[in-house]
Amino acid sequence: MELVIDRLTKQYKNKIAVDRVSLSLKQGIYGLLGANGAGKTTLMRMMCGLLTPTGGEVKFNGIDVKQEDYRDALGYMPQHFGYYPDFTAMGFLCYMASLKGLTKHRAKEKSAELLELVNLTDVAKKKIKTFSGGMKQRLGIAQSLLNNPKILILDEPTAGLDPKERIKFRNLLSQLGKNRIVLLSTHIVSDIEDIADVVLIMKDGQIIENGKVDEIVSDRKSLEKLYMHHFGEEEENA
Amino acid sequence: MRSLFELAGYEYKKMFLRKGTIIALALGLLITCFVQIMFLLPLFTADETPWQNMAYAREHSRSISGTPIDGDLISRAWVYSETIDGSRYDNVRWITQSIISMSEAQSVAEANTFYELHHSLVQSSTNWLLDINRISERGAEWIMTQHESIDTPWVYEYFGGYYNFFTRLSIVVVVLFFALAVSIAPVFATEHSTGVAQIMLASKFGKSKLIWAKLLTAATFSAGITFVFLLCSYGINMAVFGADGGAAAFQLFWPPSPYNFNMAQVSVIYILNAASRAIFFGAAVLLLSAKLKSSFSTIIFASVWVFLASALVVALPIRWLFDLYRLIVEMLPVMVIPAMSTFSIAPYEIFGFMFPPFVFEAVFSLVVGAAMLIFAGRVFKRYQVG
Repeated sequence: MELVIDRLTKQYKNKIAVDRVSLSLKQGIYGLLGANGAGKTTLMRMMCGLLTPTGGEVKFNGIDVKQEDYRDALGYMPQHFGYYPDFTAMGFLCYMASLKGLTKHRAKEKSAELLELVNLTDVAKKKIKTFSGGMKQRLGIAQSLLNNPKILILDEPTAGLDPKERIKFRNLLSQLGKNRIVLLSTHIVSDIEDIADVVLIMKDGQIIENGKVDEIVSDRKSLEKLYMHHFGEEEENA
Repeated sequence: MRSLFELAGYEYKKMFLRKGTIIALALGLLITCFVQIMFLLPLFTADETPWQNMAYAREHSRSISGTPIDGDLISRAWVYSETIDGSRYDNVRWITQSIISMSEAQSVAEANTFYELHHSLVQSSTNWLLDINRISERGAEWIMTQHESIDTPWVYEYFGGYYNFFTRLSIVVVVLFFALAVSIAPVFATEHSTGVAQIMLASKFGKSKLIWAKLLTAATFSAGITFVFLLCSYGINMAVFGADGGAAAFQLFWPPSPYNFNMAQVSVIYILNAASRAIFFGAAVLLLSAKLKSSFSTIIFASVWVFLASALVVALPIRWLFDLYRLIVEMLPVMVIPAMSTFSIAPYEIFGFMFPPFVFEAVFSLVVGAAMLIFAGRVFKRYQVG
């Protein structure tokens, strides 16, 4: 199982959002850290086939990002999770399951299972418009897991979750990372510090750090200090 | 295939969960029903008892149903015109009078030559089209050949239900197309406005079956709702005004028509034609929805098209250019009226082949509609999130 990103580039008129990023991702959890505007979301969108790169390519086990088989192996949760306000949680998941190629029967089974996993079983038949931000976020996580994806891309998935839910989510990710590639973007260091097998730090469209936490932290003592070293000024300005 | 229909089912579910769709369809159906019978309500007519008057005229008119329209019947119609009993001939007088006046004959004295007058009416209309270069010599010959195939003498039948159905169609179609615009506009636009497009396009069927499901939904919904509206209109008219007259020649309603159809056949052809045009319109709305990514803007643009004045008549010197112009104008929703375009006298001439409007415009609607549907799908598929 290998996800290969080769010299991936996205250039807008006068700005290079992602600059010749090359990576090889194997089974495990990858934490993508970076300040706002570093290019994390653009990179993830290209990895999901939502944005056409200016250059470079993305392949999973030799399958190009444009192919249906690639999307069949993909689970994605965007930064701003979109939903239909008048659908129930169960109805929404069943619809998403159909889009991911699950049969009607399997879709119901899997949706119920995932609602249980994200602790939404009690509100399965309630309309999504009545949900809190955290509940919607959990529903977003559930939909990304419907097809049991080999590649799971989560763009700031912990936004809106309370501390208890964050811990639960981290535990869930630890489990999920055992048999798939999980790429998780965030600018909250603590979200990935303990669970990420590999940390990627992105700045100005480039990966400036790539390695296990211990390897990249070295003399900086903690991931947070390393992050502040790279983005301290930007974070203060923000 | 099963997943395609399942996804199309979800598209229908999304459509009917929107309040806008429900309101537009309910309001549209209400207006459709209302306009069929509005002149039977004392509020909208000078008659104090419009229903009784209609029923009385209908019974009188029915009493001569089955009578061939010949010199004898026409003479009787005019002889008895001043008597109370003469009201049963009102429709016959209306039919003959319209032919007489259109053919510029001077009086009813020529009643015995009624079908000759009708022939000269079609001939003069054809000559006029030839003079202004709307049709070629072959086109003129084609019209007259069609005309000569009409069975005569026509047999008089009371056709109040069909008359009302045909005359109310213009309102029904405009209301129908407006309801279609409101219902179809969100099909692609909502995915953008809610942000669901991101998840969709990253899913297995997001760039393939989902798009086909949306196209299938737009096409079947457009055709289906057209059948509902028009069959509703047809049903009300048949129930209220009477279902007789289906076998009567279409010329009793539209004298210059060169086509050998009866009222029932015209109704079926018209409904099928309107459904194909609705698919064309639905495809255009879907394309706008994919391009503009906003339901509101799509509804505004589609509404402008629905209500666009169709009275712009231009004199174009080149026939094919005029045909192109005519096609564009006649594809306007407000032009979906039998007498005006669907059964218009002039054929479309393509490479020397003649196509009656109800064939050509239906085929054109389906072909161009399909192309627009595919293009709308491509626009959504190529959407760049960012």
